Amino acid sequence: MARDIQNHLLFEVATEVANRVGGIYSVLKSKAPVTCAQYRHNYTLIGPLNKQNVQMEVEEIDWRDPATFDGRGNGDNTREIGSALEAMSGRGVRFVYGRWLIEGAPRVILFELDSVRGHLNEWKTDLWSIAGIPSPESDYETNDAILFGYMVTWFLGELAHMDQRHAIVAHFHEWLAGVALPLCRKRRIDIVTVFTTHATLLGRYLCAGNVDFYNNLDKFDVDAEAGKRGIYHRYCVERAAAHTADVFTTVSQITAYESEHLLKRKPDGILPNGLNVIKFQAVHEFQNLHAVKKEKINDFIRGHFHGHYDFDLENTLYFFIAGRYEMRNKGADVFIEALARLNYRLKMANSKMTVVAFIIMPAKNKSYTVEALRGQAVVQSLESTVNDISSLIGKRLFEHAMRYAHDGTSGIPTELGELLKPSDRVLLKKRVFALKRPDGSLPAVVTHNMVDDANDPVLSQIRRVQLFNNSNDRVKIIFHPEFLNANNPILSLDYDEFVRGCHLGVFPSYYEPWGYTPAECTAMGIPSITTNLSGFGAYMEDLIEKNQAKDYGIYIVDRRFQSADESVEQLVDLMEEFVQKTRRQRINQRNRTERLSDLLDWKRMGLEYAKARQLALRRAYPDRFKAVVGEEVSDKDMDALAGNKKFKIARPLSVPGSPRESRAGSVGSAILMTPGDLGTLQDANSADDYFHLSMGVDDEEEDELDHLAE
Amino acid sequence: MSICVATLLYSIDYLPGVFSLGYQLRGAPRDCAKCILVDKGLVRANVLSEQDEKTLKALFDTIIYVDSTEIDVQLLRQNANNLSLLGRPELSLTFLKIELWQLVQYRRIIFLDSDVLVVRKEFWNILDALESQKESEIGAAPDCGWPDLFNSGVLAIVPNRNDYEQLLELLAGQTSLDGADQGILNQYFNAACGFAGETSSRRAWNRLPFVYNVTIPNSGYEWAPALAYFRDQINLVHFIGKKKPWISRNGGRYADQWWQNYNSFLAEFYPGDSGTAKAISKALDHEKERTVTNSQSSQLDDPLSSDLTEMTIEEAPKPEMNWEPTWDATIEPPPPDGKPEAAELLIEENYSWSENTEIALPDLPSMPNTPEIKPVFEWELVHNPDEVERVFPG
Repeated sequence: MARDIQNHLLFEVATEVANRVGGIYSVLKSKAPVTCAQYRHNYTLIGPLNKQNVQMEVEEIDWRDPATFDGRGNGDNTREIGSALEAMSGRGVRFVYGRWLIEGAPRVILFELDSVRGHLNEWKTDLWSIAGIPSPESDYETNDAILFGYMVTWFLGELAHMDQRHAIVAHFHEWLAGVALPLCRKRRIDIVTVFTTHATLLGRYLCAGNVDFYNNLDKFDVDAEAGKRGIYHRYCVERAAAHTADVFTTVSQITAYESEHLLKRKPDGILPNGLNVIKFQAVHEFQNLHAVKKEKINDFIRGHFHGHYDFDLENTLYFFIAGRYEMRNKGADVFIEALARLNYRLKMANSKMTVVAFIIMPAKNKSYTVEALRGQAVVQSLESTVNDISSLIGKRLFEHAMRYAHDGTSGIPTELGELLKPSDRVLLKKRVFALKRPDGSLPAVVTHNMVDDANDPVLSQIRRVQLFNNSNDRVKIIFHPEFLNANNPILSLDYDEFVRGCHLGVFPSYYEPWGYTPAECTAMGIPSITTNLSGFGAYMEDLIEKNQAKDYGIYIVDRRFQSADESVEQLVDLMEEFVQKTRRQRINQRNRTERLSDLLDWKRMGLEYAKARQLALRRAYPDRFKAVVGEEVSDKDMDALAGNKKFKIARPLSVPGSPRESRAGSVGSAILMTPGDLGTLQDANSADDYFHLSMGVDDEEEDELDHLAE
Repeated sequence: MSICVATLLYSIDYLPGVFSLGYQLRGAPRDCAKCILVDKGLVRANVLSEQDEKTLKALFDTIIYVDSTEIDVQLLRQNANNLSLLGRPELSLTFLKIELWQLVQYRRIIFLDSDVLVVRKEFWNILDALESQKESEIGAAPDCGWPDLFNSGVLAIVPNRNDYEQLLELLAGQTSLDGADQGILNQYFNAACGFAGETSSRRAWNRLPFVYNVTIPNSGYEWAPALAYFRDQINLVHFIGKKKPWISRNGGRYADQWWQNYNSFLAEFYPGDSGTAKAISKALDHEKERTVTNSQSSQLDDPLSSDLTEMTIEEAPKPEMNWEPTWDATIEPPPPDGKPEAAELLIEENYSWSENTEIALPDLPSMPNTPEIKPVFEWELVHNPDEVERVFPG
């Protein structure tokens, strides 16, 4: 019986399934609703078990019960998954089968690596003999990757043997999950594979050093460079995975180029990362949120700059950079340099605007400085004293007025002294004195005690450019070397709240395979600056007509054809231009930015994943594919399959998009989408529901889908 | 022997420097001893391998171990601010130079930093020029950044207890003006610094001609024409700043000369061995570690990679590679004449899906003889790899 390629099973394999380590977790989690809607019970995620998190992340289901694997109503089932697990369990493999507690509630299999650790040496030998991949004794991360790879292969091989009814697509993310790919190819397992790198190992290492990376990308001796950095075996895994996958993809054009030269295979396509865009019922809800969150940041600023609070918060803009503490890769160096020059320009122009720039990058620190905590405390005590006194004044005023009828005076106090008693004055004075700082001290640049203050690169650069928060500085700087959290004693905001309260995100990255940070800004309606070296920037540059991106609140700094100095200068121009905007212009810009968020929604981006799976199926089962699609496979069709011709977005729309119109007819199957069904960007505003998530799902199934969606 | 030429090794980053210098000093007059001060910490931490130590013994007559841990932590902290103005926090250990005054077994000492290059033999005339130097005097060339101060990369001194103790005292009581040795030595010997409050003193700076300590890179006003005019008289070049010749490979004519000398040293002391590259790679790795950020340290910290940082580079980087260190934001603004950061990056504006419907053949190194795949999973016993529906490449 032939495998059904239309109604195939999908497995996504990654180490960050139900286990937050870095960005892949966000990718899988935010994409889950879309993929689940499309595949329902045919979709399973596979990851290694992390015992600490599993309780919080996963709800177990009984995999021994065949009913667990029954489809709803349509007679289809995936009982072989249960049987394969049964077989492995009989061999001593331990795992957790359940639902991941996120929106969409996808099924997950989490294998416990310790249960097969006894096989490690046997498997390492096998890996060496069939794929030539060495694995040193002491690299625990690689050892775990090998165990995981063999477990996944074990499972997929078992399943492919038991289930001859469905085609099986396995999608692997990152080298840590990549060991299984050469194994599946060498052992000729009847499954279809896709491999996605979200950055390359070597690229990351090379960029962290002071290497002129992009100008030499085609010249590196990859093996030697990997050897020099002690990652040769890891690199081997990554390279083998890229070469043995049926379809190899990455996240952006720029990483595709990097992969082509460092992994020696040109990616078949790119899978940009999407977001789960939250749409508010009322269009201006997000503008209100900006105001509310900005007020919270204002509170922090009043406390932090106490004693030097001589600027007008109405005329203050909040800029920020956030990300991993990789100064050069994330462009913090360019940002700080540009801030210094912006400061100079604003001073020269006698600008009334003040810019407060936040650097949110977790670095080694020893908790908050006393000064930072004290600043918030003195302002709070002043505030409560003022409140007390004003309520007393209110009472006195009331009393005074009440007596008017009796003694014939005006009833309005003529002297302030009648309302403000000496004791109040003393108290108030005390509070005001507390705001004073010792002579010559300035509001701190950093909110925490740093472990290595003297050598910290960000602080060193700030010292060099002398942005010390002087009164006459128009650009103030605050380095918060820790992730934001609503439970922190100062700046108590979660990251997304903080972003909403800011005016501009600045991410002038040098090495940024995708770039979630600017994408998140866009989704929240906050303008941002990115570069044409970041995946996101290049993607947006590709989508939006040149010179129009600015109007949508996406500024793109050219870091490719300019020197660092010229890039800095361009960044200063952009920031200065932003500072000169009126409040009204900024509000308009935020509205337009927010409208772009549809472009980043997984409902759209998920389409690329569908294309990758299709291409893989087409390659592995060419005859079946022809039979099902019912037309000759030609290059032209592949092009059509890839989503029609691209149209660039031109002028910003001045009115909100017209109401959505659901299209008739269902294209629920993954494979039968035709060019007409695939949306183009032109109608991104009118129909963003490419998978018709709202249609063709009966009530019962909707229960399942909504299982955990709040 | 009464005259000595000395240098100092306080960080493994400067190992290629002292090797090269030691090799150049073979031209020293017979009556001049060669001596190197080595920080004990390097030996204790096993950073300096036995073989490296052996090489040092071959190049120098005497190795004197000094202990950097004796430098007061408080002292370092107090000087840290000024050092950060200089942008060179690693210089904190240069205070070890003061130990030179303790070497009273020598009548006079010529001190050379490990990053100097002896350009002409006439350099040794320096010994005659200073024959009459007395205690409490110092011979040095002016610093090109502030010519009223001297540069402490090349020094002529007369060791004695008195100066030694007073220097230590000064070090404890005052903050060095640049946070490192050069500041404190100027504060002690240089009248321009007011002799640290003392009004009358026998202390004096004997000004050596600049040709005895030509610091490069230099971007001063008169630099280019003066260089052309005095080129034939330059005795000694001093590579100041972070870009030592052994760290960045393209540094002009004097860096090339340094490399020629270093390469012949390698050919003699490490023939056929790539221990060479080792010294460089060590310095480079060190350099890199500084820039690698905290978030990445987890990967670098693992025992494996630390083992492998010892691995050697078999061949020098390809000539067309540009290993010039990129802009270091903590030290300087971006260079105004820098080149585009990614001009050669040819990314496709419209990356479209591959149209190839065939599965790519893996471009991997082929295994010598493809071994029989031994079954490791249970299903392999029943699975016939030839009876699969899907297509495999090749």
